[in-house]
Amino acid sequence: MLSCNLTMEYRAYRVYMNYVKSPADLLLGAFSTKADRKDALAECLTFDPLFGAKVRMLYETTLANRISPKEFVNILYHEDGLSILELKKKSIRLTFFKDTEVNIAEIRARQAIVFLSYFKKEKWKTPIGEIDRARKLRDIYLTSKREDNLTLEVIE
Amino acid sequence: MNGIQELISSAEQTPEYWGEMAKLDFAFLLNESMDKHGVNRSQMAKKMGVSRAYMSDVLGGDATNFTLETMAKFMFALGERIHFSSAPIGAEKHNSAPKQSFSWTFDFDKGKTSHISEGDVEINRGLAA
Repeated sequence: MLSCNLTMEYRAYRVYMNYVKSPADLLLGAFSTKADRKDALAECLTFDPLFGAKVRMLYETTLANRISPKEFVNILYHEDGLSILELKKKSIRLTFFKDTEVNIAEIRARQAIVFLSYFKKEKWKTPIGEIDRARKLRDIYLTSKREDNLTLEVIE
Repeated sequence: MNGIQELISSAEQTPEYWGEMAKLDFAFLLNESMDKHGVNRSQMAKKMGVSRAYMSDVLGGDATNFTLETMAKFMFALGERIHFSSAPIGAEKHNSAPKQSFSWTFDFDKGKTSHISEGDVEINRGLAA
Protein backbone atom coordinates (compact mmCIF):
# COMPACT_ATOMS: atom_id res chain seq x y z
CA MET A 1 0.00 0.00 0.00
CA LEU A 2 2.84 2.36 0.87
CA SER A 3 4.67 1.73 -2.41
CA CYS A 4 1.42 2.36 -4.26
CA ASN A 5 1.12 5.75 -2.57
CA LEU A 6 4.72 6.61 -3.39
CA THR A 7 4.09 5.83 -7.03
CA MET A 8 1.01 8.04 -6.97
CA GLU A 9 3.09 10.87 -5.54
CA TYR A 10 5.70 10.76 -8.30
CA ARG A 11 5.58 13.86 -10.47
CA ALA A 12 8.67 14.82 -12.44
CA TYR A 13 9.66 17.33 -15.07
CA ARG A 14 12.64 15.80 -16.86
CA VAL A 15 14.82 18.42 -18.52
CA TYR A 16 16.82 17.14 -21.49
CA MET A 17 20.05 19.12 -21.49
CA ASN A 18 21.05 17.87 -24.97
CA TYR A 19 18.59 20.38 -26.35
CA VAL A 20 18.87 23.20 -23.85
CA LYS A 21 21.13 26.10 -24.83
CA SER A 22 19.96 28.84 -22.58
CA PRO A 23 18.40 27.44 -19.37
CA ALA A 24 17.37 30.78 -17.91
CA ASP A 25 15.43 31.59 -21.07
CA LEU A 26 13.98 28.27 -22.11
CA LEU A 27 13.92 24.75 -20.70
CA LEU A 28 12.81 21.67 -22.60
CA GLY A 29 11.67 18.45 -21.05
CA ALA A 30 8.91 15.97 -20.44
CA PHE A 31 6.44 15.61 -17.61
CA SER A 32 6.13 12.13 -16.20
CA THR A 33 3.96 10.56 -13.55
CA LYS A 34 5.76 7.22 -13.61
CA ALA A 35 9.23 6.83 -12.08
CA ASP A 36 9.89 3.50 -13.73
CA ARG A 37 8.65 4.27 -17.23
CA LYS A 38 9.81 6.29 -20.19
CA ASP A 39 8.27 9.71 -20.60
CA ALA A 40 6.57 10.83 -23.82
CA LEU A 41 9.74 12.32 -25.33
CA ALA A 42 11.81 9.23 -24.54
CA GLU A 43 9.10 6.99 -26.02
CA CYS A 44 9.00 9.08 -29.16
CA LEU A 45 12.78 9.15 -29.62
CA THR A 46 12.97 5.41 -29.03
CA PHE A 47 10.48 4.91 -31.85
CA ASP A 48 12.22 7.39 -34.18
CA PRO A 49 15.59 8.86 -33.11
CA LEU A 50 15.47 11.30 -36.05
CA PHE A 51 12.46 12.95 -34.41
CA GLY A 52 15.15 14.60 -32.29
CA ALA A 53 15.73 17.01 -35.19
CA LYS A 54 12.14 18.26 -34.77
CA VAL A 55 12.68 18.63 -31.04
CA ARG A 56 15.88 20.61 -31.56
CA MET A 57 14.18 22.82 -34.14
CA LEU A 58 11.26 23.42 -31.76
CA TYR A 59 13.68 24.52 -29.06
CA GLU A 60 15.71 26.81 -31.32
CA THR A 61 12.74 28.45 -33.00
CA THR A 62 10.91 28.97 -29.69
CA LEU A 63 14.04 30.55 -28.27
CA ALA A 64 14.27 32.82 -31.31
CA ASN A 65 10.51 33.60 -31.26
CA ARG A 66 10.07 32.37 -34.84
CA ILE A 67 6.61 31.53 -36.12
CA SER A 68 6.22 27.82 -36.83
CA PRO A 69 4.41 26.47 -39.87
CA LYS A 70 1.22 24.74 -38.69
CA GLU A 71 2.52 21.62 -40.42
CA PHE A 72 5.36 21.58 -37.89
CA VAL A 73 3.51 22.60 -34.72
CA ASN A 74 -0.26 22.54 -34.57
CA ILE A 75 -2.67 23.76 -31.90
CA LEU A 76 -4.53 20.70 -30.67
CA TYR A 77 -6.62 22.43 -28.01
CA HIS A 78 -6.84 26.19 -27.69
CA GLU A 79 -6.82 27.67 -24.21
CA ASP A 80 -5.48 31.13 -23.34
CA GLY A 81 -1.82 30.78 -22.42
CA LEU A 82 -2.14 27.04 -21.84
CA SER A 83 -2.91 25.65 -25.28
CA ILE A 84 -2.07 22.04 -25.99
CA LEU A 85 0.18 21.87 -29.04
CA GLU A 86 1.48 18.97 -31.07
CA LEU A 87 4.85 18.47 -32.73
CA LYS A 88 4.31 16.46 -35.89
CA LYS A 89 6.19 14.08 -38.12
CA LYS A 90 4.02 12.07 -40.49
CA SER A 91 1.81 10.02 -38.13
CA ILE A 92 3.90 10.70 -35.01
CA ARG A 93 2.48 13.21 -32.54
CA LEU A 94 4.17 14.58 -29.43
CA THR A 95 1.91 16.83 -27.38
CA PHE A 96 3.23 19.67 -25.24
CA PHE A 97 2.40 23.03 -23.76
CA LYS A 98 4.45 26.09 -22.88
CA ASP A 99 4.80 26.91 -19.22
CA THR A 100 5.52 30.61 -18.84
CA GLU A 101 5.78 30.57 -15.04
CA VAL A 102 8.67 28.23 -14.38
CA ASN A 103 9.19 27.94 -10.68
CA ILE A 104 10.00 24.33 -9.91
CA ALA A 105 11.84 23.99 -6.61
CA GLU A 106 14.56 26.66 -6.92
CA ILE A 107 14.43 26.82 -10.70
CA ARG A 108 13.45 29.95 -12.54
CA ALA A 109 13.30 30.24 -16.30
CA ARG A 110 11.34 32.50 -18.60
CA GLN A 111 9.52 29.56 -20.13
CA ALA A 112 9.58 25.81 -20.52
CA ILE A 113 8.44 23.41 -23.19
CA VAL A 114 6.68 20.58 -21.35
CA PHE A 115 6.09 17.42 -23.37
CA LEU A 116 3.02 15.54 -22.20
CA SER A 117 2.12 12.55 -24.36
CA TYR A 118 3.05 10.63 -27.46
CA PHE A 119 0.78 8.83 -29.89
CA LYS A 120 0.51 7.74 -33.49
CA LYS A 121 -2.32 9.33 -35.42
CA GLU A 122 -4.05 6.73 -37.55
CA LYS A 123 -7.13 8.62 -38.69
CA TRP A 124 -7.67 12.09 -40.11
CA LYS A 125 -9.21 13.39 -36.90
CA THR A 126 -7.22 13.36 -33.66
CA PRO A 127 -8.98 11.05 -31.16
CA ILE A 128 -10.64 13.14 -28.45
CA GLY A 129 -9.16 10.76 -25.87
CA GLU A 130 -5.63 11.86 -26.81
CA ILE A 131 -6.54 15.53 -26.37
CA ASP A 132 -8.14 14.79 -23.00
CA ARG A 133 -5.10 12.77 -21.91
CA ALA A 134 -2.75 15.65 -22.74
CA ARG A 135 -4.98 18.18 -20.94
CA LYS A 136 -5.17 15.95 -17.89
CA LEU A 137 -1.36 15.58 -17.77
CA ARG A 138 -0.93 19.34 -18.15
CA ASP A 139 -3.34 19.94 -15.28
CA ILE A 140 -1.53 17.43 -13.05
CA TYR A 141 1.77 19.16 -13.87
CA LEU A 142 0.34 22.59 -13.01
CA THR A 143 -1.28 21.36 -9.80
CA SER A 144 1.90 19.57 -8.71
CA LYS A 145 3.93 22.69 -9.40
CA ARG A 146 1.50 24.87 -7.48
CA GLU A 147 1.62 22.47 -4.53
CA ASP A 148 5.42 22.32 -4.68
CA ASN A 149 5.20 18.60 -5.32
CA LEU A 150 7.05 18.49 -8.62
CA THR A 151 10.48 16.87 -8.84
CA LEU A 152 12.96 18.20 -11.35
CA GLU A 153 15.22 15.66 -13.03
CA VAL A 154 18.08 16.87 -15.18
CA ILE A 155 18.98 14.42 -17.91
CA GLU A 156 22.50 15.20 -19.11
CA MET B 1 17.45 7.36 -18.80
CA ASN B 2 21.08 7.49 -19.92
CA GLY B 3 20.01 5.28 -22.81
CA ILE B 4 17.87 8.11 -24.14
CA GLN B 5 20.75 10.57 -24.00
CA GLU B 6 22.88 8.10 -25.94
CA LEU B 7 20.06 7.71 -28.42
CA ILE B 8 19.91 11.49 -28.93
CA SER B 9 23.68 11.79 -29.22
CA SER B 10 24.08 8.92 -31.63
CA ALA B 11 21.25 10.23 -33.83
CA GLU B 12 23.04 13.61 -33.95
CA GLN B 13 26.13 11.87 -35.27
CA THR B 14 24.38 10.68 -38.43
CA PRO B 15 24.10 12.67 -41.68
CA GLU B 16 20.39 11.73 -41.80
CA TYR B 17 19.75 13.78 -38.65
CA TRP B 18 21.35 16.88 -40.17
CA GLY B 19 19.47 16.22 -43.41
CA GLU B 20 16.27 16.45 -41.32
CA MET B 21 17.52 19.69 -39.77
CA ALA B 22 18.25 21.14 -43.22
CA LYS B 23 14.72 20.33 -44.38
CA LEU B 24 13.32 21.97 -41.27
CA ASP B 25 15.49 25.05 -41.76
CA PHE B 26 14.12 25.30 -45.27
CA ALA B 27 10.52 24.78 -44.08
CA PHE B 28 10.81 27.74 -41.68
CA LEU B 29 12.51 29.87 -44.32
CA LEU B 30 9.79 29.09 -46.87
CA ASN B 31 7.01 29.70 -44.33
CA GLU B 32 8.47 33.11 -43.47
CA SER B 33 8.94 34.02 -47.14
CA MET B 34 5.36 33.02 -47.95
CA ASP B 35 4.14 35.20 -45.08
CA LYS B 36 6.28 38.09 -46.29
CA HIS B 37 4.86 37.84 -49.80
CA GLY B 38 1.28 37.19 -48.63
CA VAL B 39 1.15 33.82 -50.37
CA ASN B 40 -0.97 31.12 -48.76
CA ARG B 41 -0.53 27.35 -49.00
CA SER B 42 -3.03 26.81 -51.81
CA GLN B 43 -1.51 29.59 -53.89
CA MET B 44 2.00 28.24 -53.32
CA ALA B 45 0.96 24.70 -54.24
CA LYS B 46 -0.64 26.07 -57.42
CA LYS B 47 2.45 28.13 -58.32
CA MET B 48 4.62 25.04 -57.89
CA GLY B 49 2.20 22.60 -59.51
CA VAL B 50 2.21 20.32 -56.49
CA SER B 51 -0.57 18.91 -54.32
CA ARG B 52 -1.66 20.44 -50.99
CA ALA B 53 -0.48 17.23 -49.32
CA TYR B 54 3.02 17.65 -50.73
CA MET B 55 2.98 21.32 -49.76
CA SER B 56 2.16 20.24 -46.19
CA ASP B 57 5.06 17.79 -46.22
CA VAL B 58 7.44 20.55 -47.37
CA LEU B 59 6.28 22.99 -44.68
CA GLY B 60 6.44 20.26 -42.05
CA GLY B 61 10.01 19.37 -43.07
CA ASP B 62 8.79 15.91 -44.03
CA ALA B 63 9.12 15.96 -47.82
CA THR B 64 11.05 13.07 -49.32
CA ASN B 65 13.27 13.17 -52.42
CA PHE B 66 13.75 16.85 -51.77
CA THR B 67 16.57 18.24 -53.92
CA LEU B 68 18.46 21.51 -53.97
CA GLU B 69 16.78 22.22 -57.29
CA THR B 70 13.34 21.78 -55.69
CA MET B 71 14.28 24.18 -52.90
CA ALA B 72 15.53 26.72 -55.44
CA LYS B 73 12.28 26.39 -57.41
CA PHE B 74 10.15 27.08 -54.32
CA MET B 75 12.11 30.22 -53.54
CA PHE B 76 12.20 31.28 -57.19
CA ALA B 77 8.39 31.11 -57.22
CA LEU B 78 8.49 33.80 -54.52
CA GLY B 79 11.08 35.86 -56.42
CA GLU B 80 13.85 34.90 -54.03
CA ARG B 81 17.05 32.89 -54.04
CA ILE B 82 18.64 30.71 -51.41
CA HIS B 83 21.85 31.55 -49.61
CA PHE B 84 23.78 28.84 -47.80
CA SER B 85 25.92 28.99 -44.73
CA SER B 86 27.51 26.35 -42.53
CA ALA B 87 28.80 26.05 -38.99
CA PRO B 88 30.57 23.35 -36.99
CA ILE B 89 28.07 20.97 -35.40
CA GLY B 90 27.54 21.82 -31.75
CA ALA B 91 29.25 25.19 -32.03
CA GLU B 92 25.97 27.07 -31.70
CA LYS B 93 25.32 25.46 -28.33
CA HIS B 94 28.21 27.35 -26.81
CA ASN B 95 28.34 30.45 -28.98
CA SER B 96 24.73 31.57 -29.11
CA ALA B 97 23.71 31.01 -25.50
CA PRO B 98 23.84 34.24 -23.56
CA LYS B 99 26.40 34.21 -20.79
CA GLN B 100 24.48 34.43 -17.57
CA SER B 101 24.49 33.03 -14.11
CA PHE B 102 22.06 30.27 -13.43
CA SER B 103 21.79 28.18 -10.33
CA TRP B 104 19.69 25.28 -9.21
CA THR B 105 19.91 23.84 -5.75
CA PHE B 106 19.21 20.48 -4.27
CA ASP B 107 16.69 19.94 -1.52
CA PHE B 108 17.64 16.66 0.13
CA ASP B 109 14.52 16.64 2.30
CA LYS B 110 12.19 16.84 -0.66
CA GLY B 111 14.42 14.72 -2.90
CA LYS B 112 14.73 17.34 -5.58
CA THR B 113 17.52 17.68 -8.07
CA SER B 114 20.54 19.92 -8.01
CA HIS B 115 21.89 22.04 -10.78
CA ILE B 116 24.62 24.59 -10.47
CA SER B 117 25.70 26.49 -13.50
CA GLU B 118 27.66 29.62 -14.27
CA GLY B 119 27.73 30.95 -17.81
CA ASP B 120 27.50 28.06 -20.25
CA VAL B 121 25.49 25.02 -19.27
CA GLU B 122 27.30 23.04 -16.62
CA ILE B 123 25.49 20.72 -14.29
CA ASN B 124 26.24 19.04 -11.02
CA ARG B 125 23.57 16.44 -10.96
CA GLY B 126 21.85 15.08 -7.91
CA LEU B 127 19.15 12.54 -8.43
CA ALA B 128 18.61 12.53 -12.16
CA ALA B 129 17.28 9.19 -13.32
